[in-house]
Amino acid sequence: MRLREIAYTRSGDKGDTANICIFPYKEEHWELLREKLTAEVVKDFFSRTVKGTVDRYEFPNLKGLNFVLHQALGGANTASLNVDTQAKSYQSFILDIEI
Amino acid sequence: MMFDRLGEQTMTLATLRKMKNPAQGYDHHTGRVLKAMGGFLEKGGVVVGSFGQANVPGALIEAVDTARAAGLTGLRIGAMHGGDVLDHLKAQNVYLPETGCTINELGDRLICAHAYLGAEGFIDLLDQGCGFVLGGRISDPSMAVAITHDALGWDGLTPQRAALGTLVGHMLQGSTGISGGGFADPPYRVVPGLDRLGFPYVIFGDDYVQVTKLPSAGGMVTAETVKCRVGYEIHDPRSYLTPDVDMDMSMISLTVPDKDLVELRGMTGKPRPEKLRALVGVRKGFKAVSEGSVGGWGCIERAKLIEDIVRERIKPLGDDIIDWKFEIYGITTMYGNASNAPSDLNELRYRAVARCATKYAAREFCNEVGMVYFDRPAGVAGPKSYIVDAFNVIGVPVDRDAVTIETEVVTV
Repeated sequence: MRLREIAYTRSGDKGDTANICIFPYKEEHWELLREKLTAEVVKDFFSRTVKGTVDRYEFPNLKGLNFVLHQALGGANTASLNVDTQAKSYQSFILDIEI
Repeated sequence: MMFDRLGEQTMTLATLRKMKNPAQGYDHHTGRVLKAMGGFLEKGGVVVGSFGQANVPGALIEAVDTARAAGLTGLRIGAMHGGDVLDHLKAQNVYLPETGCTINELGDRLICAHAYLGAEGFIDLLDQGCGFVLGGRISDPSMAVAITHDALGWDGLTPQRAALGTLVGHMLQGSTGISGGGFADPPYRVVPGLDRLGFPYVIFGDDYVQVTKLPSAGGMVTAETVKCRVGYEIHDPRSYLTPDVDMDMSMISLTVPDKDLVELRGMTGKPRPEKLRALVGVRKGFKAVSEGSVGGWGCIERAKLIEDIVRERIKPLGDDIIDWKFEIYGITTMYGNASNAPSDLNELRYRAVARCATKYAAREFCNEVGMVYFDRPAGVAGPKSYIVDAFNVIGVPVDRDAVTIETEVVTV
């Protein structure tokens, strides 16, 4: 299934770094998300636009993950040639991941 | 009431505006907001905001003029000056790894440098009885730290108090981002009343924050919208650094006491970072964007022909074209995946974009791409071009004692 069916997200930027936090709708999917959605999976999925490393952090009580994507926005600010220079659209793209 | 009037790029954009006209460079909504809040201010309400941007004196003049015209006699308007660290960083000649050179070597590419300021200045102004408080590059959550300090009658900040205020600010600084904005994704996420989203407000005590909205407003405040806000534009949840605190959000817990009411607890504060952080605005030339549409079957092949023509045509501009790319909306502009293209596509819009060393090269790039009616394949229409200043904002640490702030109070 696609992540969109079980999880929701929010994304944003700090300079050339993007972050995406992701939470499951149902608590029963938390462990699945934690197991399948590794930093490596996210890095592979974003390989066309993200040039740097991907870090993963956890919210143990809120049951969510936070991904930090480096060199993620083709430079940053108005110097970036991208349409989305602020990672606003990454929150939806990540939900296309098949798990 | 707290108005966050700054994004990461705003100080640089505001400085560029001020360079063109010294009377500009502050938020031109300052007077409008003050006027709209007149009744609230008359009842003793407090409004704080980063209205000053790169020109705090300008915003103060507009606020005072507006308050006088609105008859808000007796209102105390406070301004926090300071935070411009350009001269300091030049004196230190700091090295900026992102640019590969020192700040002085940037020459006229250097636009501005402003430190993120903490809550102290606003706390001082609220202590002096100001109803309307404005500043420049105060960090977004620091405005809320000042408000919580005032509202809960604290006598100074501890890391734990600063964490409470910082969480309040983190919840509120994205306005409707917590009450339904940027969230709808039907059928999975349905937000009622998206056409009339209400701003959120918070109820807080020393160890909790409740987020809610007016019942009459559209949108919603749910566990989901609030969790998304907790994780918004942060890196390591264990260490959210502001001028006031090193906040740990990782162990936050959440309950939903009522409809559209979400409560957060469990944030903790460690002492504030030793140094402040400043953003340096650096020119990166000019960005030229030129678009057009191609119609009918085979449009992708014809768009590729345009890309090939442009590649040849811009060769004489040489190194003045620093970087460029040619993309197709709906297929490659967002995630670069060309295999998205359906085989029977019968219309598309392309986007050629370049970063150029000179404005001349940027204009020439637009001219070359924009020649759609002549030396081009068939069926190209709707050309449109524009050029913007390209810049980066680069974060650097700065010593606290290099940053001085001053407060000023005007009684209307």
